[in-house]
Amino acid sequence: MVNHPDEGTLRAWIDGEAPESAQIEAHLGECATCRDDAAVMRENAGLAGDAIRQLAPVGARPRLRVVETPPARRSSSRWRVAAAGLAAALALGVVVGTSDGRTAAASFLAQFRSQSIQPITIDPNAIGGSPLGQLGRLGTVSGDHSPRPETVGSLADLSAKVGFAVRQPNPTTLPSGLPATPVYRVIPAHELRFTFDEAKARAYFAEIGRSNVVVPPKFNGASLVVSVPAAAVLQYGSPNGQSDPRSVKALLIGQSGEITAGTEGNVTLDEMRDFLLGLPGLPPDVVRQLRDVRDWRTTLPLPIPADQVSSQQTTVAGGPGLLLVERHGLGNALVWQGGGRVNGVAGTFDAGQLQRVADSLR
Amino acid sequence: MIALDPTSFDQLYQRRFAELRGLAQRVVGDGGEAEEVVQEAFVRLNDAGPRDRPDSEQAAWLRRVCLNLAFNRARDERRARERLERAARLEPEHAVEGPEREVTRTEEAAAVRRALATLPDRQRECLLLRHSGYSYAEIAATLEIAVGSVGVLLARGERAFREAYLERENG
Repeated sequence: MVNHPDEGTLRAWIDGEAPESAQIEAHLGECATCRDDAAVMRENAGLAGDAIRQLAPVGARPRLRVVETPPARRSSSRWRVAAAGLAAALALGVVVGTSDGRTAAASFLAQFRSQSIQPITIDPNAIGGSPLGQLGRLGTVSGDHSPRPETVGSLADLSAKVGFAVRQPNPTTLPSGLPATPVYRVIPAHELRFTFDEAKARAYFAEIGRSNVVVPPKFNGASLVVSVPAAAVLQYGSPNGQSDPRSVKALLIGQSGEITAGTEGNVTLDEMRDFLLGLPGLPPDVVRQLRDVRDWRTTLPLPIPADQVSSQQTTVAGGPGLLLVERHGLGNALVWQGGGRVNGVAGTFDAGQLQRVADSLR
Repeated sequence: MIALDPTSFDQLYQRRFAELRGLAQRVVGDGGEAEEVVQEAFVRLNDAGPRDRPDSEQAAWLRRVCLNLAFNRARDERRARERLERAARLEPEHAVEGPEREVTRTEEAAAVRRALATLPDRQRECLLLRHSGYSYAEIAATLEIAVGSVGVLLARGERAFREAYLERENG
């Protein structure tokens, strides 16, 4: 067998950093020597990595700066804000997922699994006008963006529908004014898919005056797939029947499995990510934040609209979590990853109250 | 010190401090010393660094300076002795896990550093950066080498590290 990849190329391939991954994989399929070499390299890398990582704790990311904005007129009701926190907790990955290519999912081999969460501050207006907000101009986007929740009769039904034992809060931790039993809802599992189309993209780049953008041909027809598993929602209180949104009392507890992502076609998730993050016209600070995510294969980027919500690191149920605070006092949310689930508690209550509920989930 | 643009300097500091401290701590061991290293690097950035360059370049510059400063400190015997003495006293902040575990951990970390010290500089830096989570592009920018050289430095460095590290167990 000729054309064995050299050791540097093979090592880069192990990290998903080799430019010619398809050729290397084809070669490995046929060449036992290179497969053995790769296995030894992987072992060496694992040993060195484990040893070096224990030299210092992973540096906690610095807190995001809270940008003060003047209180503003907002049409959003308390409920929508609480729901936004939940959407963040559950569906999130979806928006930024499809947009940045990081949280796409492969049907059989997930190259991405959400195991921790990191906030990414965004300006929704800047995103909307950028290629990330207009992926449909670069290819086809399919899948149900926000599937309809379905109401079920009991916790047992809910657990059966989502495929895991849904946890409940200790009733004594529930803020007063809420009903003792929740409404049980299921948000069905769904998949989002972005398939790149070279001709469409070229037309788009020409239109925005960037016809010099070069798209490697192998991207044509490649897909980014994000799978969002079914989510369970316990809903206490209702947004309806209140004329003043500030008098609403409502609490949502959401739990879902891990969001997974991957690619189909000749492109690896790394390549798709690099390509999407390299698109012209992206807000540079968003690109930087996404590029800065360590362990991006297991970190779910949580988009935070900085003008509406601030975020800070916190501890939930003994592990790392995020506290999201709506800037106009309409509600708060806690989001954390634990026990293989993405969890969220959102509501029109203060952070301490939400924290007690979150810590009590059993 | 007068920053060219205090706001963006501050933001850069906020954004980069923790990861740089983690990187420096892997070299010097002590968290407080690692913070000094990072602060020193930022002072240098402000005085004479590439402040007019894009953030990614400034970040690469900071990583490079942090690594150099940290290696210099690690080589400084006086500091090494102080560190040993501190470790031997088992300061309360370290002792929360129980003294035995802390001693094991300190010994283990020393063994890792000894094995790293046997590697050529470039390989050692590559290993530290890669296993602190940096991409090949970031590593290449930090060490001012071609992206294509990162893989081979890692492959050789990891092989050499393994030999040196396991030798201590056998010998």
